This record gives sequence, structure tokens and C-alpha cells, in this order.
Amino acid sequence: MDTQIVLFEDQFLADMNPVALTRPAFSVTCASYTLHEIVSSISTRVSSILRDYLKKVAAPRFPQKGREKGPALFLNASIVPDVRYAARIRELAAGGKPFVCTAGHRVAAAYVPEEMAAPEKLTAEEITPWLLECKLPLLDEELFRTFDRQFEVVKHLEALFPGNIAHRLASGSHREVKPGVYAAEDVSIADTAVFRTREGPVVFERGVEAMDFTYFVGPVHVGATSRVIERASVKECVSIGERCKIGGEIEASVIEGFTNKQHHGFLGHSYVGSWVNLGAGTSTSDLKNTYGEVRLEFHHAKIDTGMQFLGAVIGDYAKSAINTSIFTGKIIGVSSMLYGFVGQNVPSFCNYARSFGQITECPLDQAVLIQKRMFARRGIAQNVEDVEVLKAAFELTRSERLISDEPPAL
Amino acid sequence: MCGIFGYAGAGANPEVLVEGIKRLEYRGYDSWGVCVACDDQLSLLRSVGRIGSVAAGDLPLPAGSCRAGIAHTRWATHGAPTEANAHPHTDCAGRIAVVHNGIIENHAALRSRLEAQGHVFRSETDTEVIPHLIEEFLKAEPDFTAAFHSAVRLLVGAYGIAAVWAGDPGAIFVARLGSPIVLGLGKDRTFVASDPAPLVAHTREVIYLDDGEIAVLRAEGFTTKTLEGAPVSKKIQQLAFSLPDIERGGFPHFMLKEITEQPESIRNAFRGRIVRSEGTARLGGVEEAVLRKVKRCHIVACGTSWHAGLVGKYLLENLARIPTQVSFGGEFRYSHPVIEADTLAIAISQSGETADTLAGIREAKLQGAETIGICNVVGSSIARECGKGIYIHAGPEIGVASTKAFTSQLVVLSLLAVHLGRMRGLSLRAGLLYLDAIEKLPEQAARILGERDKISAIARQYAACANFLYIGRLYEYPAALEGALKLKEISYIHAEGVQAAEMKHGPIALVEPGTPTVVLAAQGEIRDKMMGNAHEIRARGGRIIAVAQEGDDEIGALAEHVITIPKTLDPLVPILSVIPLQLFAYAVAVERGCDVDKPRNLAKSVTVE
Repeated sequence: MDTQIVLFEDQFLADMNPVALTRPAFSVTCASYTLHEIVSSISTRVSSILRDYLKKVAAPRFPQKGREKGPALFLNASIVPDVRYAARIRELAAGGKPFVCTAGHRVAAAYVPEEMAAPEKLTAEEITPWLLECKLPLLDEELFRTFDRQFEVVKHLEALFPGNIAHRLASGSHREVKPGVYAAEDVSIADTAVFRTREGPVVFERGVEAMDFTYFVGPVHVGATSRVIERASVKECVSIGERCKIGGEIEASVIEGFTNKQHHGFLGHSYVGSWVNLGAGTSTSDLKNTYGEVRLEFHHAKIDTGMQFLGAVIGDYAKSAINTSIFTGKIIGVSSMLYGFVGQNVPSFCNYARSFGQITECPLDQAVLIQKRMFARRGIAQNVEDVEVLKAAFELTRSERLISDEPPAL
Repeated sequence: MCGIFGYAGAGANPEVLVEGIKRLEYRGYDSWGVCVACDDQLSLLRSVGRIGSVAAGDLPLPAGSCRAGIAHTRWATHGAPTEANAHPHTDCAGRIAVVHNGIIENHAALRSRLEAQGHVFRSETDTEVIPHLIEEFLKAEPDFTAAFHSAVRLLVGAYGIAAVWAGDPGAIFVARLGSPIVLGLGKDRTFVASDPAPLVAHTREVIYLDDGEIAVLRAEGFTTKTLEGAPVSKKIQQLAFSLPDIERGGFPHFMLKEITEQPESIRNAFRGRIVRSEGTARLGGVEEAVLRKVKRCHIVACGTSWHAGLVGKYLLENLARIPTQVSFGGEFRYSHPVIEADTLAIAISQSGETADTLAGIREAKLQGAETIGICNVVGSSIARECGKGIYIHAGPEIGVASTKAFTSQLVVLSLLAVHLGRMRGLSLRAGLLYLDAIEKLPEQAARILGERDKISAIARQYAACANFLYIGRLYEYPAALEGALKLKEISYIHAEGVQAAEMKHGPIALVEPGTPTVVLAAQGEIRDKMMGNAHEIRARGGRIIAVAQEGDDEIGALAEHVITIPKTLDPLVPILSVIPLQLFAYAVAVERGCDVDKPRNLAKSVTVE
């Protein structure tokens, strides 16, 4: 039976900034999948409850049916996109038994029977309290993990890759073109490309181009029509979105679609959003000189990540100038522009050039103009909804940039 | 708990009303008030203090032509005992007066709404929303009864309400949900009261209003309807109790009455404080910013409250991971306590007047600790000294041996631990599990009370014993101390509460053939260890009375008697396991002919150091 599934955002997404600031939480990629892809493969009756400012921009990109009356399985949009959850979701949907299931401090899932149908206009802020007030039976186990903080996208990468990549191969129409190398149609692989696939496969989606002297160590997934330029080294748990341009050295990282990291420079254990451009020589550090655990600062709290390797978390639309060096475990906000050494977190919409004594706000108009120019280069028309998302993100992050007598910092 | 009395008919003068609430003083005594309706206007008098000492004849109120009146003796829950907070409360125009017993859980939301509509509030009470709500509905609905119905339907919580309206001065409007209301029928007059105590001077014919019912009283009789407006036919009953019986709710002793009230007092301790939508508790008297900073807790208390504090230590350390120390009030000042930065000192006292605890909390404050009080009596010295705190809402506790206050203190400490825990990483699931378990406690307590006859029969067999041991571990260790204290206090039998693992380090030498030992073994986590203790006692010929979880058949092989309690989370076990111990001590004391409510050498409120 095709059960109605409602993907809901909740009130805890601020801790996911900047990763989920300009995109629905269900569209965050990890190990080649988004939660939206996984859930859409389970039911044709998927709808969502999103933050208001994302609704219009999400509608054409994630086509969904409207929420219907009747029973529904509610899934938190921040659930980690682990394909092993697909069977669990199917089972819960088919079971038809009311329940609520938590993950840490959040509601992860709930099956709401027909008689308790959710009010039509529930917001992302209201849905969790409403589900808890329903007094549904509480499951003994926490069945799902959620992305609670932005760096966790990187943290889950290694564990998710084997299962996710295997599922992608099993459910796609890839051909094995070399041992452990799988390609969809129209893939072009230079003869001089080198592959090491003992630890996992390398998977190229439709139209990918791997140019001369590229070097891949699996597991790696490269999204449709992305190009990996000559001498690039892409190693161990790298998930690249569609229409990206990839060069230099990349290790254990997620790069969302439409992003350019064309040139030399190291990107390790990092998350990079969409429409990012990393200039030549941009490098991230993913290991402290002490070899100790990376401690991340966010909103004045110091957070133990439990990770020895953690690079940068870079929001959508961020840009870096040539030879930008980003220190270990730093967060770079949406639409920010970096120059020189980046030794602290950078709020969204900032021109960060501390090495030259300058940290200023990047005006919204400028961010909108840059968006328009980048879209145009990829043949995409900027529409009102895209601009509205930037405007909302600008307002939501205003306080990050208004720390009196202090340089802007997250 | 408060006392309500109302009178409709000729002769509804202030003296009669004052005499009525004097009969209800045991229900609350921090302030009082009277309102009479005469000739299209209301006359009101309120005062702080006990009604018992008031000479009714001297009240500055009209007496001659009054056709209805209501009166109230208060046990503060929301707002200190001040004249402004005393009932009756009135609307903006002073034409509607209301007395109320119970707690209106949604009063804050209603108050905000009414204030936005222009209503001016003059007290800190939850009750004041009621006259303003009625006033608001009266703007659109000229029929007072309909407006009263509409207002009452919006109330969430527990209430027994009586209201008078200047526009219909011969009527009293009454509603009940969760708080008792009894109507009295006299010749050309009718009455309303919280219990029959003030009615016996006027009539023996009474009607008990049920939850969700509304009544309108007039001199010539009464009508009753449901909240939805459907007429209800009520049965008239004859009062067969004496006045002292009525004051004790038909129980032979206040202690037994208070033990039996625990399902309700436990419910009142968490009523309106559970925030299920966030998997936590909200404790209005304590600032969130203060709680967020807390790095250590230091509990200061005496006697039964100290036992509650021991449970509190385990709760705060387990759920909130906050290092917690418990000190005797009488020792705290003299032990040169180390109060580190960001310490929260928690004073626990039923009366709020315990001198040792008060001195202790003053010392903690002096050393820079943030202080909160967990008290029963609103506006008491400790509550005022702390400036902030959590009231347990147990209602007046008259029996010297504390019973319902203890379980209410534990409920409040559990809520505090859940709240602090959720601020510090306690998972949502764990929070919800605790909230669910706390919400089940009243029904579970009622089930235990249903076993009273069985427990009493067991207890009587031990009434001649000279010594008792009570043993328990973790959360049941304080319960063992409390069980032993109850027995000592009221039956004068030597009893010792022992941490069960410590038995082998000395106290087991006391066990000889026939020595009675109460073994508390209802926690899942350390049950097997308690079974080991039971074996050791049995091997030495001791007699075992076990308090175990329902379904634990194994312990019956070792124990002479098994008293079972419903399953709950281990940290909440003492809330339930202490109830049979209270009943046990009570039954032993009665069998020995002791004065249960006034045990020798003891006072209810210990106001000397």
C-alpha cells in the first residue's frame, strides 16, 4: 500500500546552519543520497512541512503531492539519508500502527492514524509539539539518526558510503567499465585515469567526464554531467553532486551540485554546499597539529565533534579567493566571500579578509547579483523564489553579523 | 485546597458565611474573604490570616437585605497570602464575585487574552481569570447562566467554583471539575460548600455535585446541568456523620485522610507543569536562566523532607548529571559548607517554617548560592527567604507525621530533575518516559490504597514488636528511612532504616529469629541485590515483609508477607513504595492505641533550632 509520508522540518534546524539554511533539510546529500530521494522511492504520496521561506523554491525542485487527509507517516526531514532506513520506513508505513519515535532531542518519526489527522496549516515550528501532544505510543528504540549539527554530514559519511553506494548500483543501470568502476550512459573516462577500488567502487552518473591523469580511490560517487579535470585526486568517501567542476585533491567530502572546485588545493573531510566557487589554491585543514579531537565553535558554544579529521562546512553560494586557507573545523556561512587565512567561523553574507584587516557585510543586492550571474553561466534563469530565499537567509543571519565591537563570528 | 461556603436565601448575612468557612478552616487558613449580594450590588471583605479568630458580628458588611453570599478560606497556590490575592475575586466592574478551590492550569493564557481585551487584573491568582471571563461573555450574552457556562467551559484544570452576580443577587452559580462541591437543601434556603462540614448546622439533606456539572442555587431550590447544558437529576442524600468526622473526611485520623488523599495531591504536584510538547516540565517559580547556569546542587532539609532530599540527590545526579549534596538543616551552618560558584541551594520544607532549614538556606544565600524553596505553604518564611521556588500544592497537612507532602515533594523533585536533565542532554525519549510515568502515579497510588485492608492486617500482626529494620538501596534507601521514621513517630517502636548493602557491615547483627525487616525490592536495577539481602535475613530467622513490584513471584518464597506496588521507573519507585509503609505504620500505631495525629513530643512545624 502506498502510504502517505510527510517529511517535516522541525524547530531545531538552526544548529544545521549554514548547511540547511537555503535548502530543505531533506535535500542535504550524504554518501550520494538525500533523504528525499530515499523516501520518494518508497511512496508516491510524499508531501512536506517546510520553513515558510523555502516552500516556493522547493516546490518545483522536489515535486510532491499536497498533504492529504487520512493516516500518514511523519518523518523528520533531518533523518540521515541512510538507504538501510528504507526498509524500516516501508515497514512502519505498512504497519499502520500509531507510534512516535525519538532521536536524541527530536521527534524522528510518527505514524498518525486517521482520527488524529494533523491540522492543515501546521508549521515547521509547530509540528513536533503537535506530534508529542498526540500522545502516540512511544517506541522503545530510537530507529533513526538525525543530522543535529552541520558537521555531522561529514561525520556520517564514512559509515553510510558502503551501503548507499551498493544500493545505488543495485538500483541503477550502471555498467562496470573497469574493475570496480561503474558508469551510466555517456560517461567519458580518459585512458590515463587511474582507479583504486579495493575499498569501494567508483560510480559515475550520466555524462560525467574524468579527464587525463585523474586519480580515484573508492568509494566515490560523481553526479550527472560533472567534470573531474586533469590531475585531480578524488579519494575515499567523496560524494559529488551534479554539474560540478572538480580539481585538486579531495578526500572524504560532500560537494553539492553546481559547485566549482576546479583547481589545485586540498579539500578534506568537508561539506561544500551548492553554487560554491573555491578559487585556485584554496585549501582546508582537516587535522589539528596536536592530532587531537576537533572542537568546533558555534553560536558561542564549544562543541566536541568526536572527530580527529574535520575540515570546513561551507554554505551555499560561498566563494573563496585564490590561496584561501581555511583552518580546521571552521564554518563558512552562505554567500560569504573569503580571502587569505580563515582562522575563525565566518557568518553568512560576509566579506572575510581578516588577513588584510577587513571583515564587512556582503550586501544582499550583491549576493543576489552574484547568484544571477552564476545561474546564467549554467543556463538557469534566476527567479523570484531564488531571490526570496537569499533575502530570508540574509535576515535570519543578521544577528550573526551584528556582534558589537567584535569581528563577525558565528 | 481551599474552603468554599455559600448561602442563598433570606438571612444570607456575613455572620452565617463566616461561621461556615470557620468550619472549613482545616482546608486552608492563610487568608479569607466574604461577599454578599444585596440590592443590585456586591459587598466584599477580605483579610489575611485565620478566619478562626474573627468575630463575625463586627464585620463591616451590610447584613439586613442580603439574599445570597459566598465565602472562602484560602490555601494559597498562585500568589502569596495577601489581601489582594484572597478570594472572592471580582470582574472589572465589581459586579461578579467568584470563590474557587483548585488550580486553573490555563490561567496564564486566559489572562493574556483578557488583558489584551482590556481587562484589568488586581491579583496574582489563577482564580481571577474566572470573573473576567464571565464578564467578557456577558457582553455578548445577557443571560448570566449562559455566560457562566461559556466561561467554565474554557477552564482547564481543577475547580470548585461559586459565583454571585449583582444583577441577580438571589442566586449562586456553582461548577465542579476535580474539586469537591456539595450542595445543602434547607427550608427556603440552599447552600454550597467544599465539604459537608459547614452544612450540618443548617441541614442534613445534601447533594454531591459530580465533575462537569453546573448548578444554580436560589432560596427555593436548585437546578443542575452538565457543562454542555443537559439537565441532570441529582439524588438527595442524608448526612450521617458528626462534624469531626466530616472535617476528617470520614476518616478516623487526619493522617489516614492525608495518606488517602495522595492520588489527588500527587496529581496537584504535577498539574499544569508537564510540557509534553517539549518532553519536559515547566516550573513557573524558577527562572530558566538560573537553572541553566547550575553546576552543583545542595539540598538542605530536615526529617521527612531530608529523606525527600536524598531521593532528589539521586534524581538530579541521574537525570541531570548535576553533582548534588544533601545536608541536614541543623548541621548545614555549622559544617562550614563549601559553596562553589553556580551552586543551587534547594530548601525543602512542608511548612516552609522549619527553623533549621531556614537558617541553612540563609547561610547558603550569604555564601552566594542561588536558592529555591520546595514548600507546601505559600508565602511561608522559607518561600520568602528563597524568593523563588516550587510549591508542592499538597493542601494543608494536619497530621504531624508527614505523608502526602513527602510524595508531593518527590513528584516536584522528579519534575525539576527532568527539566534540568532536558537542559543538559537528557533525551526527548527519556523525558517523555518520565512524564508518562509521572502522569500514571495518581492511578497507581490509588491502586495501592485499595490494598489498605490487606496491609493493615499484616501490620497488626507486628504491633507488639519492639524493633524493626527497613532496608533498601538507591531510591528505596530514603524510602526505608522514611518508613522507619513513620513507625517511630506514631507507634513509638524503635525502627531503623538501613542502606541494604551496609547490612553486612554491622546492622545484620541485629537480626535474630523473629526480627521483622521490611525489605524494599521494587526497583528493577538492583532487585537481585535485594534478593541477596532477603536471603541473608531469612537465613538468620528474620521475618520479612517485602515491598515488591507487581508480578514479582520469586520474593514470596523468602518473605512472610509481600505487598506489591505497580511497576514504574526506578527513580519514581519511592513515591509509590512509601505509601504501603505509611499505611503500615498507621495501622501499627492504631493497634497500639497511639494518638496518631498528635504523637508525643512532636510538633507539626518545627520552628525552633
